[in-house]
Amino acid sequence: MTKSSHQPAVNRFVAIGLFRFVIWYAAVYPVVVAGITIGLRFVNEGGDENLWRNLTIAPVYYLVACGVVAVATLLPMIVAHGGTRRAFSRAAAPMFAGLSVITGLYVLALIGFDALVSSIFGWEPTVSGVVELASVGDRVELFLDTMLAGLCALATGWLAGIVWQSAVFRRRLGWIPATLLMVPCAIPIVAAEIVLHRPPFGADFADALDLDLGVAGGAIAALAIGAASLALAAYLTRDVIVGGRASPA
Amino acid sequence: MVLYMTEEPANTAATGARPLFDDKTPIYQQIADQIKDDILSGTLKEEDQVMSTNQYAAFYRINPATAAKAFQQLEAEGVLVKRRGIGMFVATGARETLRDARRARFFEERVDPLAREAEMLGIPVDALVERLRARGGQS
Amino acid sequence: MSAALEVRDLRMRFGAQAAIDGISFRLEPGRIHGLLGRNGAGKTTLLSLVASLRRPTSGSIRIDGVDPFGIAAAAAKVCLVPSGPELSGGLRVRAALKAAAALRPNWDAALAERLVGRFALPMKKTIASLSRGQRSAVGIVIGLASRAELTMFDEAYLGLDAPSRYAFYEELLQDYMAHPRTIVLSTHLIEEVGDLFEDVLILKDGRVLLQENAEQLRSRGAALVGPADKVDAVVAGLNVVGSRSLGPTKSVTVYGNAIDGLHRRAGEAGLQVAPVPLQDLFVHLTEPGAAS
Repeated sequence: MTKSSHQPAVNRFVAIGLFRFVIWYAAVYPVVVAGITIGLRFVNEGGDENLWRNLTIAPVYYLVACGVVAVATLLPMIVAHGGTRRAFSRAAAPMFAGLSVITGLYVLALIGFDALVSSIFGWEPTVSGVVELASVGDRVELFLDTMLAGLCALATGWLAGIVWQSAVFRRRLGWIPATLLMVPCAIPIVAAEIVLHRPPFGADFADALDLDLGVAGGAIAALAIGAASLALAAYLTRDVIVGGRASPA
Repeated sequence: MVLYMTEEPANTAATGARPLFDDKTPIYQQIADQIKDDILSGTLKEEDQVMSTNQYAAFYRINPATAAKAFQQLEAEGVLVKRRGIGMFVATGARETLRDARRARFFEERVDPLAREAEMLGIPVDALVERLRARGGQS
Repeated sequence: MSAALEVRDLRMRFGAQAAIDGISFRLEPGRIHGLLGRNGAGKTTLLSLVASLRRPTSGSIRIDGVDPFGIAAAAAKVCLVPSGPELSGGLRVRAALKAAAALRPNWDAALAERLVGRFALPMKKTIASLSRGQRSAVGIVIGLASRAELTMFDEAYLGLDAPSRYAFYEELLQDYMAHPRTIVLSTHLIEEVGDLFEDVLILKDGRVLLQENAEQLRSRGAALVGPADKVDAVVAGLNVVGSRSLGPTKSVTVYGNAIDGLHRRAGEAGLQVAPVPLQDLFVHLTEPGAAS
């Protein structure tokens, strides 16, 4: 393991790249959702069609895209400018962990925002239709769930990005088979949702599988899934082909 | 051709087309020959500093090693001398040495082909001599 | 700060086809190397392997003795300016330069700025929307301003007009002389770029055909023109790599070590010996079926 003065530059580059990709979503998403919800309320006279229901879900799925983008855009540029794949993995893995913590906090903040908007209009806060938030313990649990699901979502994105690169550049597949190959990459996020009983489908799947690990067991399982998936992604990144032409031409 | 300018040669080369070399001899040979010509004609005086290999390389858009080869050759022939840390200078007595060498080859390299060509064209030797006399009177 | 490149038994297979078929060579540090070869000879594949864009099927690549694929210290010394599609086509020129500045330890911002001005690059346009020549100019700016110890240009001037190409050669030479480093120029424009080379590496069908000092390579070739019988007599026993006839006149190109004697014999026969331009030598030597 050679230490390199290049690592800090790669860290900075990955951090800035991720920040750029995330920040506009974090800023725009609640505003858009609030606008649409308020608009619908006034059109439908108290109808409960609201997008707040997705409040704890959409940010997690956005992290899948985040993982793909990191591999598809940041990794090739790092390698093209003299960085190693290992440097990318070393930057990405801890930053993904940090990003999932931030996502957990962000979802809690969104719930506060929901409460604020609802109180202005004198509505019941709507998130409670999706998750029970009676106590502080509930909020901690929501934070943990979101964070762990977020970690697994990032791992799914990272894996999907690597599989895409390999499929297109190594095997020279077209985009349809390449996309099909990416489907198994969804395993980490799907598995995490099941063990965490997360909406939208996690609880149903868990029931169908008759699986209940409890809160602590589910969290530990999700953490293990996330860590293992990130390790697998970092392992697959070691030899991944970066851009360029696939054939001698 | 004025090569011994005071300004950076690269600035001159920036817009203009590169001075062309002929295809008959290696480039370093041509550079060496040009320097010799300039010493003989007095454009470059003894003890004068010659442009650096890098300036030559930039001016002609050639690899510095190629330019350096010309300098090595001239140094080996005693035409140029290197002063450490300063650069290359025309050696004392270089002009005389070059003249002697050129004179020795002059008839073989210049006059003989001229005579052959004249013979091929049916020009009598007297006509050649007359021409040379007339030119000599002019200059 | 110049890096040596050492390649040993390198092989790159794509299915049944070997793009690089077991090559070994060493590029001396601090020189400008010409990388020549016909289309499909393996130049681009070789460069992408040296730049760690992919793993070779087998064999080794060492930068100053270290594998650049996994070791950051070696990887940071290498810069490839590709001829193919840009890795960052969706980026604006400004963002692409910023990324290079962020990741390249020796980045020279002042040089980059001057070159952007010289090539009149639009900073706000995306690279994909630029003309071919402008895209090449972006690569040239990044390649020069990165000041990597091993900088490789793969047909870096595609689409550039002649004045811009000359500008590239000048900037390359000036920066190389001010900051000596190892440079590889992969090119088809041998006539134009050839005078920049110190050494030449020629690939043919994924193998090394020859590697030699450019001046020495030129001195191995000679061209003779004259009456066919005289020419034939003079070149008898030499390695004739090319020959053309026009009526009773014959023109031959010979290549090899025995050129010195040729000058004497040609002089005696009243024939003129001319050097062969690098481009012509290249064409003859890479002829399909030609022996090296």
